[in-house]
Amino acid sequence: MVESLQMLAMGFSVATSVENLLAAFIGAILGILVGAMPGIGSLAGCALLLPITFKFNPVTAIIMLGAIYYSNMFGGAYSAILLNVPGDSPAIMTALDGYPLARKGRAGKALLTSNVSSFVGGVIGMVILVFLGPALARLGLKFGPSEMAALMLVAMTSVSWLVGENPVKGVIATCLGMMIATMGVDGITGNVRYDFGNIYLLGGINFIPLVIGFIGLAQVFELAENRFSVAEPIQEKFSILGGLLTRHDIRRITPPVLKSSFLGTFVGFLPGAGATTASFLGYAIQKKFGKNEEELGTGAIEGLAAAEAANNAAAAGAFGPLLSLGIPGSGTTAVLLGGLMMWGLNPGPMLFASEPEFAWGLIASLFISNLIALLVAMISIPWMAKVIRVPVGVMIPSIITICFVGAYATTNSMYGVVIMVIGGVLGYLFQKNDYPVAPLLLAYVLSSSLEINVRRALVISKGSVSIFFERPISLVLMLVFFTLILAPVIRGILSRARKQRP
Amino acid sequence: MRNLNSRTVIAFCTFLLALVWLYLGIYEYGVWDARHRPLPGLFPAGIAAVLLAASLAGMVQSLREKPADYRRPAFEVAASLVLLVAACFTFGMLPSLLVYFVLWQVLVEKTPVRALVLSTLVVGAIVWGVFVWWLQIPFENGIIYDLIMY
Repeated sequence: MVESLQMLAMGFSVATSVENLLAAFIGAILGILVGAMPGIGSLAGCALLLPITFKFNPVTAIIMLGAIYYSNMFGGAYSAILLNVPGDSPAIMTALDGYPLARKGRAGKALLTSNVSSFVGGVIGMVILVFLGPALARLGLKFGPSEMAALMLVAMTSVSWLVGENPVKGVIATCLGMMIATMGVDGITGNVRYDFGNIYLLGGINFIPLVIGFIGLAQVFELAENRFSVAEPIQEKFSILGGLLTRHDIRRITPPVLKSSFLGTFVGFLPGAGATTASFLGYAIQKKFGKNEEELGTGAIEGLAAAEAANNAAAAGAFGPLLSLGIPGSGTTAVLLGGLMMWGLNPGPMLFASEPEFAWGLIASLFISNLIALLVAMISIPWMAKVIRVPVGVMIPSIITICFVGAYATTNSMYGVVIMVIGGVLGYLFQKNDYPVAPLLLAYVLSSSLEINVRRALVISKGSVSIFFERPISLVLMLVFFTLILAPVIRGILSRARKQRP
Repeated sequence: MRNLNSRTVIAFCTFLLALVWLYLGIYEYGVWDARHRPLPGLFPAGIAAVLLAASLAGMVQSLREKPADYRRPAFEVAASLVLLVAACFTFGMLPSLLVYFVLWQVLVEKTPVRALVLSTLVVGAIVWGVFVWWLQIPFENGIIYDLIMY
């Protein structure tokens, strides 16, 4: 415990350099602005802003990326509260009470409640991360190739199962992500695979243009189709003073914020869960067991606080498996992992030992980003109404322009742009046909590591798959994996049997 | 075949893709060597086999699903993207993006002049400031520029 605090202090010395503070500050402002724009959200926000970090050294770049990711969570609440359009899926629960509260003329209070709850949730999540992250990494050090492979299978499967309502589509998306990742150089033998004689495919499909297309550009299609269905923004002048929380308000939100923060952090630690699940759970628990002065769903600040605290705590908790095991818990953390890999950093059990400056610098920067995001979010309350009123007609060509220059900047060639456009069209078709995108991204970033571990395990066992069932940890993980696969099948059979019963 | 829709087409495409991956994985890259060690084709072929089965299930399932609803603005965006890529190759990236940005707002969105000028200045400043000046990205000049200059 003391060691963790010492390392955190070292992390703060890294994170508080002028360059890193500036990067966190710029990241926080950009993250809030992009996150607040209706229809963009944290995943698209991170994807679109990723190329901006190219100029920095890896530590500063990742600190900026962490700040963008974190402040996006703050920003997502603005469009949910003021427009009833959740910027991303974790903000769905925020809109349930945030928008009715704003309609009652208390938009300033709703925004401030959301900001404060997000901040507290984030701090609690980060404190837990400081102590549990290294412990998880120590556990990870005991993992051999078979355990790592089994863990990755669990992570991929649980995301496919949790994100989509349709397991078949989840499996298709996951397999497609893995297959795309197998193009290019084989990580073990160095042989080139699936390049189809194309010189550009020798290096495989670049992740950044793909994710900019799949998430950012695909969003443009959605915006174009739904441009007339965006609700009228709340016409109210906001001020920080006007929205200040009273002592009574603070008493009302303290219990849900604390409960949801702890719950959210642990949900965030689970591979495959993440901020959306956390905010749903936090809200549901508050609705069922919490003391609420007003009914949830009609503008109760308890509900708003519970959802926001849970999703920000989960965002912090998600860094646990990401840094300690190299397992992202959601689409957004998969983008972060892609960014880390782009910088040559390989998150996993060795990261805390081999790159302590980076790991602890990033964790410390999350504390700083959280504070900066709170300050920026509070100060910008009066202007945010203008930001979210940017017409969709202006946003469409603006996002397309940023997607094009961002994708080009990644590869310095039109190859990146072509990948991005193809990815955008595919992403749109995925959305339209109810295929989840997060499993594809997660599978893409985990595929290479999964393949290396599977093949190493099979080399050790001389080709016998029994290696995945011989050691206790891998056996348990494989049982979880098979349970996740079989659960929907059994559920389907049972429900059919129930329907047939007279 | 009454319910054949884009959901079926997507599942059929992934089925074909899986077949290609499976074939190349087994016959081109190999699965096991003589000493029972995995070869580069093993993992992709294994994934392709799972995708093959899932795509078949997806095709069957898609026949029971409601077709996806596509709207005209999405096709406008798709067509504009194709034109924009072609323009980037021909006239260069930055001029093409500028013309696209202005034309889209004038022709499709009917944006008022004030908002058009303001948004062009803001996005132009971001593109020029961040990508040209700061990141120093050597953007595509286009075929015409190359023909004139070289």
